Amino acid sequence: MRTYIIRRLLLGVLVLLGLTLLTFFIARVVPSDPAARWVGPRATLDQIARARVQLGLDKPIYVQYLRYMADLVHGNWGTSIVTHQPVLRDIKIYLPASLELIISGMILAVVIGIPLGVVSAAHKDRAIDHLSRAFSIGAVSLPTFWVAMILQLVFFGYLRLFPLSGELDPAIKLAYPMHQITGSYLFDSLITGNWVVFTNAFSHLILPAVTLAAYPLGLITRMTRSSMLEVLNEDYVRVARAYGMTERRITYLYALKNAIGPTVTVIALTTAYSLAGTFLIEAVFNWPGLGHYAADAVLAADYPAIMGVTILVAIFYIAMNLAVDIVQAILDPRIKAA
Amino acid sequence: MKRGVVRVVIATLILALVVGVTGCAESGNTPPVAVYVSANQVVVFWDPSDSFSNEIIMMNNVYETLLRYDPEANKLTPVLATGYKTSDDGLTWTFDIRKGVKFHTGNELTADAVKASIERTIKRGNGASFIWAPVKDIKVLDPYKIEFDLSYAAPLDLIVASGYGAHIFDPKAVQQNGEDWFSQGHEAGTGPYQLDSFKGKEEVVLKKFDQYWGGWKGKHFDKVVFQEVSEAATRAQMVQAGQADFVDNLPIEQIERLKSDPKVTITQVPSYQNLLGLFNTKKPPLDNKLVRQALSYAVPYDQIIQDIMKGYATQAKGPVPKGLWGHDDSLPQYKLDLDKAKDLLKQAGYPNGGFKLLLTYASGDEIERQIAELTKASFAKLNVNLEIRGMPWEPQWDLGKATKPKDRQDIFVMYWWPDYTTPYSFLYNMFHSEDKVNFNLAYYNNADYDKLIDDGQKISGANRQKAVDLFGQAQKMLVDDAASLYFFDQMYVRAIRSDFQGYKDNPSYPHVVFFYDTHRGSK
Amino acid sequence: MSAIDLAHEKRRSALPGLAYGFYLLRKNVLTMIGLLIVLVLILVAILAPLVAPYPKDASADVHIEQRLQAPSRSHLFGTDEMGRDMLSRVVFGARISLTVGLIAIGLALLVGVPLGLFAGYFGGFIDELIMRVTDIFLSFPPLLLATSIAAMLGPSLTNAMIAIALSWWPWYTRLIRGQAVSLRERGFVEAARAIGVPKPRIIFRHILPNAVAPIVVQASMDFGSIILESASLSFLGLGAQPPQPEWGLVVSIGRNFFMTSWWYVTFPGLAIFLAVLAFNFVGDGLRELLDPKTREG
Repeated sequence: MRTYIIRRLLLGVLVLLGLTLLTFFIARVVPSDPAARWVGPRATLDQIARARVQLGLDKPIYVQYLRYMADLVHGNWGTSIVTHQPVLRDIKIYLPASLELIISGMILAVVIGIPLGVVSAAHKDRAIDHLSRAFSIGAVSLPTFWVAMILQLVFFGYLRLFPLSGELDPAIKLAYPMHQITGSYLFDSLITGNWVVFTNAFSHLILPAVTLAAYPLGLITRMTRSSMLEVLNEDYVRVARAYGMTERRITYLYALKNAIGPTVTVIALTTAYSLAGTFLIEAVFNWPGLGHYAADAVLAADYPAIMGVTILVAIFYIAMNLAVDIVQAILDPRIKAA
Repeated sequence: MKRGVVRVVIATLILALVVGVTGCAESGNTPPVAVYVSANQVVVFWDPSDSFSNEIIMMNNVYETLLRYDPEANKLTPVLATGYKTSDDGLTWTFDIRKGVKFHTGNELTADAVKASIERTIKRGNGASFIWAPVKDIKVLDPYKIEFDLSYAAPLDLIVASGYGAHIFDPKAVQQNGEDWFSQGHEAGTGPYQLDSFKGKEEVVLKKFDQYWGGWKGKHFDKVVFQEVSEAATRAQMVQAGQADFVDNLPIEQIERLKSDPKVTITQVPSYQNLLGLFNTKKPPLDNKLVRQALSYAVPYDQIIQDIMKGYATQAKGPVPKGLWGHDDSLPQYKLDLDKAKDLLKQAGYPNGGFKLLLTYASGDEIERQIAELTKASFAKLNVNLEIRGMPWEPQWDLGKATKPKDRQDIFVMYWWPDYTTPYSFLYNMFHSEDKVNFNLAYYNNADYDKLIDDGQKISGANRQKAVDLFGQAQKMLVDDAASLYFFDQMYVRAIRSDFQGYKDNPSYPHVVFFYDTHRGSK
Repeated sequence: MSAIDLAHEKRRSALPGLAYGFYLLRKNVLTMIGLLIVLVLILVAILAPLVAPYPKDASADVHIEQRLQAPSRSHLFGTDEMGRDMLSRVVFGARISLTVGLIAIGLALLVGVPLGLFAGYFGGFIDELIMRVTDIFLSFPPLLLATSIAAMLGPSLTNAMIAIALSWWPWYTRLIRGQAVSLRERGFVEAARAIGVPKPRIIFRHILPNAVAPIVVQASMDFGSIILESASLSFLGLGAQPPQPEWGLVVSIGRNFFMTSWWYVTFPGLAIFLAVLAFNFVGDGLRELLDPKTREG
């Protein structure tokens, strides 16, 4: 088991290294001059040339890469071309809002997806199964940017139920200055008991969270259904049935417990991907998250910011992957043996 | 279990609805806070010496200049300078510095600080520092008197009033904390507001500076918030819901809709910003003046003004916008005339059109895109195939500066606005010949023209009328040569809260709100 | 039995019989709905000039005097800000989306399949190298990778297709590698090797044909996601350019108008959704068909 983990960790580092190389290459050959971006839209040629030297962009690209990596190892993630602030500082600002959105969306997806998958499997090929399958496939087929706008149109434009976008009303933000603990308004207001901020933040969260939930919801439902089907055909389930256990008890107590593995994997990996993959949602809802930051960075060829976000997401993804594998290896003796 | 889940879901939904409804409700007792919502990044540069971007909106409330220009009255009002004198040859300028002004750092404003500020800006050479080019020497005559010696008679009064690169800051703050101190998100101005907090590039909060030299007797805001909101629909909604006092860059559709809302006031003023489509005068077929003229006759100007801009713009007359000194109202205009265009194309040797052109514009700019599409449809009637490509600014500009002229675009659509209040900014940057391409994206190269505008600039501080004359001749050349399409002079249209009072648009400081002059009134 | 015959036999057993397969598919309502929509889409795409009420509005025509009109009898889906008929644009958009999907998948296969075959057949260092590269690509959030590549290549529909292909190929490499590894040890391949058939011939004539079925199935299952991804890139301004009636681009431009003109984003967005949904329905049916456990259960 230990050698397995060590091997996986080493592989992870290797992948990460390759990833920095690939990202750096992609981000640096963009047909856009970071030096021009750095000095602003009205710069003179001389100013751009000086910025190029200042940023080290006059050096060959491999030297730039090595320099970047050396800095990275020393904890310096570089300075954003767009914000002119250290990338790590930027990430710290934008990460909490992203996490808040992703976690709420995932909770929504899990709470609805797993029961739906189970019910669907338990009633295979009946109307409810068809409905739930249509629903889950529908959920993964939705263009998120479009859903976001339609929700805005209906729930803000026509019904006036929820705010259009943003994380918190500016007036509320100013009227109730908050001590930042985690940086997430929702969480901070909850633990400090600031009900006004909490309700306001919560109402802002609903539409983006629902939009975000759609895709994982579809995946989770589908995954739960198919692994449930698999388990329900296993011998021990048949035995349990022969012993006269109620179908509900079998389904929820035994089968679900054994079928949850693949679903957990899906949840973990989707969460990791979402960290920067939600930029379309964040853009439409003007949500000050990491995805928004990443998309701006990509469009502006802000390579230190692109690198920073990519590395962060990759670390998170590789760690999630590893954690899932290890947990499953522990739970399932068959994998350990192999 | 199943029922449990359903119950939880229903409960959550109900909670969500309750929260949604109450969360939407406007909070009653708000402190006197003003909110400025912009489509662009609030701060690009924190350093007042480097600033040349959207942050000047915020900075003009934190920092001040020696003078401020009021184009409507055509006069300069004293700010940090209480008065100034010019020598007859326009080469020596003396300013009296206001006494009793405190920087936010607590230090006192003196002539030495003014000199050190400007010299640091010149030395750093970033942003708009080139506005100081005519300055040869700065002398401190006494603690409250400063003299500028110029190498030619430039309009220094307008230069010191520039919204960019002319802010006075406390040089001691840099000496004590290091050159990078500003860039890390600090300020050391004299303005009515000082930095309270900021979040990334998209939010800055200012609070009032209690020791401001102007005092706080009248009605003012305690705090000012600057926010970036890239979604136009959101910006419109914020001003409607009373969450924003000032919103810019709204699509015309939103403006038309907001007009009917009594809680919102729409203001419009002529601006110094115009939209041009620079022709690539070095690449066939546009190196032929007749082809450029033909295409200038093929743009549906009236539709652009009426249907796309809904009247919030006027067709441009040459490259200098109306209202700015040096604008020449007698310049001819091209009008949509497809027959004439066909005729000119025939003369140029393209009787049936039959060529392909690439037009680049700023991606995300709705107005530019619609104009591009309209122009494409119109050129198609001449059998000219116009490919239109929306690009972010840097790649668009890079393509324009490509080493091989044949790789460059044929038409470069962009806005221009002056660095300080001078027509030379338009005439020089976009059309003066350049060894290496920077903003002359028409690649226009005309020695006679260069001489006219350079001579004009050199005397504009001493003899404004003569300068206007020379600039006028230069513009006639540009229009006749059809170096560019002159689409329109823009009006700035903003939506403000009806109870946001005291605001006056000043086109010399585009998009800037001097919040000290504003207050919350009754609707 | 020659190697070729063996290969054919293998191919046949990978899928249930065609007739049986179709029977199973028919039982699956969703798949049939999906197939129906796909067929309609293809027909609409091919016959676009006949189906669209104002075919010229899909390209360069502009009627600015009738901008942003609500749906009416003459314009069923309303008009856009240039006064063009939205229905015509949505109809022509089907052409773009289907072509983009086909080409992007084709390109991804072109890169992914040979690499997968090499990795699987040769094993060892080559295998390790190729598979680690796929790991790197797959640890990117998918859309972020495509976005970065598209930004690097510059905004155009062609570049968007390339970007999608470059972010998608590792999936095919992995799939094919798995197939190749298991086929490598099969009797007919060993036989071919034993009688001295050259390696490229073994790879492309014996292994590849046997891996075709799973590739085709996977590719058809991916079609929906690819359409979605290209729409997303266009939405970000990195794909199609105006005035192309690409659905994602139309929705993106519609962001400026949707609060006042509800039809602007609704119909093109619905078109994206329906197209993706249809392909996913079909893909899901194929998946069920191939998975014996769910098939028999």
